[in-house]
Order: sequence, then C-alpha cells, then structure tokens
Amino acid sequence: MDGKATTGVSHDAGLRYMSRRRALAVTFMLAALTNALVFAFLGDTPFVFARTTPGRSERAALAIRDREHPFVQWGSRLFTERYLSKYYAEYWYITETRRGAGKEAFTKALKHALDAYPNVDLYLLAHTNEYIDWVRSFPESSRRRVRFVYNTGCFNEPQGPDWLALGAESYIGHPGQSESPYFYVFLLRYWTRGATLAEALEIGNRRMERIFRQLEFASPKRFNAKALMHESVASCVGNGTLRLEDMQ
Amino acid sequence: MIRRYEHFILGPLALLFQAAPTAFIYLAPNLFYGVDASLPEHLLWMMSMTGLAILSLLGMTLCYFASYLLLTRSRRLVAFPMVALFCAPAFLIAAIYLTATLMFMTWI
Repeated sequence: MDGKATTGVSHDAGLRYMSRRRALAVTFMLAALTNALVFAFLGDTPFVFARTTPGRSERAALAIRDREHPFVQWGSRLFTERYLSKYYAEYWYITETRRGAGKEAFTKALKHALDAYPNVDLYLLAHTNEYIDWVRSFPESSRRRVRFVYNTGCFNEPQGPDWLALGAESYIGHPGQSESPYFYVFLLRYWTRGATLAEALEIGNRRMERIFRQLEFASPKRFNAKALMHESVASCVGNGTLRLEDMQ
Repeated sequence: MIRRYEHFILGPLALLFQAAPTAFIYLAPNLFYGVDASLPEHLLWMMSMTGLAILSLLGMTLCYFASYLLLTRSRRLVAFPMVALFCAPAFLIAAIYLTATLMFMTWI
C-alpha cells in the first residue's frame, strides 16, 4: 500500500513516490496552467494592480438594469458595481422591478449627478429601451454634462444621434437582437482602465466575436457566429477618442 | 485509518466541492431578486463577493492539498491518473470561479 512521502528509490518510474519539492512544483504548475487556460479561453488579459484612472472626483456614473431573470440582474450588478465605485466619485445602480419602475429613482439620481459633476456617464443595461425620453426632460445646460452613454438594448443603435443631439459626447449601441453582455464585459474592463472608446469598442467587438466562434465550435447547430456578430457588433457615434479621464 | 487514505479521498472531494460555488451562484440571485427576495439589494455585492471569494479560495486550496498529497503519498502510477482525473478538472473549475471573483473585485 502507498505510504508516506519519500524520495524516489525504485528503478521503475511508475512505482516511485514524488519528492515534496517536485510535488509542490507540479501542483503550482497545474494551478498556473489552469488559470492561464481560463484567460486563454476568455481571450482576455489580466489587469494586475490597475490604478484608478485620474480625474475620478470629476465624474459620476448611473447604471440602470431592467427587469430580467434574477440571475441576470444579480450578475449585472455584481460585475458592474465595483467598476463604478472604483472609477467614479459617485455612482447609482438602479434595478427595475418592472418596466418603467425605475423612472423616479433614475431621474432623481441623474439630477443629483448632473448638478454635482461635470462628467456623467450612463450605462443602460436593459433590453430595447427608451430611457432617452427620461433624459429629455432635463434642461439643456444639464444634459450637456452627460458625457458617454452605453446602451445594451437590442435595436438601440439608431438612438446614437439623438443622444448626441441631447448633449452627450459619445454613444455606443448595438444594431439588432444583440448578445451585448459578451461585449459589455470587455468594454467596461478596458474603458475604465484608460482605453479610448474606439479602442475599447474594437477590443470588445473582437473578443465578443471570439466567444461567438467558440460557441459555434461547441454547438454549430445552435450558434452561428457570423449571424450573431451581425446582430451584436457595437458601434460608436460621437467622440471615439474619449478616455475615462477626459473632461468635457 | 482515514489518515492513511485521506489523499485518495481529497481528489474526488476537491472535484465534488466545486459544486458548492455553482450552488451558491444558483441560489444567491433569488435571495436578492427572486419572488421571495429576503435580502436588501445594497448588500448584494458584499455578501455575494464574500460567498464567492470564500468558496472559490476553499475550492482552490482543496485542489492544492489533494494534488500535493496524492503526488507525495502515492506511487506515480496511481497519483498521475488520479491528479488528471480529479485534481486537474477541479483546478480548472476553481480557476474559473477565482478568475471571476478577482475580475468582479477589479483586481485583475
């Protein structure tokens, strides 16, 4: 029967015990390899010890999530909240219990943000939506403080020019029945770490496509990467060179 | 008696334990957003991250112990297949949860 750790003495490699040092090395290598595999699968690079982007005190963010399956609502908040709290001086995250239920909280938070901060970014994490109507009621001088708007909503790409007309500097949206969460993860990760919107957009689209290809590879009957990409590819209108740290 | 065989038990246990974060992810959303939501939303991040971090770290630690003990206490002929069968998949699942946890914390 197997016994305590020893150094290998048998001539048959398969019957030898591994030395403690070597076992430790193999174990660490296995752990490192699996972690690297996860990142390789994601196609992402880790941001180790990323610093807060300058100008944090000058910006605020407002995110709104519509009614969805509890898992989606939970996941959206879990992923988004820390990025907003770390990279913005103040943030609000609203989860709607039913369509339109967040109007009061949204307008109240937006009023506070527009009064207190020169740069306000909006994250509209909702299916096809018309939150733009809630912003229209604000005076033009306030609306001009809305800097960047990201909208996950399906078919909401055409809202871009309307947001710019309202005063926003940049807008990113999706053209069709999109799978925007695969894009949003990369957008938020890169945009908050100092990439321009155009850079974050390009990375987000590229990595979203990669995931679609992986899904297609795993289940070719269920997923068509090209069709998914056609519906989901994000585009930016307005200032694509905008960085999180830039001031309006 | 159990101590003599613990290295054989730890591998499958490490793999089985990976079901714990999965169960947590399955259950936690309903505590905050389900029909019978019992926890306030402002606690979501702190409570969910604490749960996820503890479970993913425990899962990873269990993998380390399982792999190390198997390699040092079993002959290679036994240890390698067991590490490949139980520890490697357990490490992979634990790495997914740990990566997600660190990403949510914006540490990586």
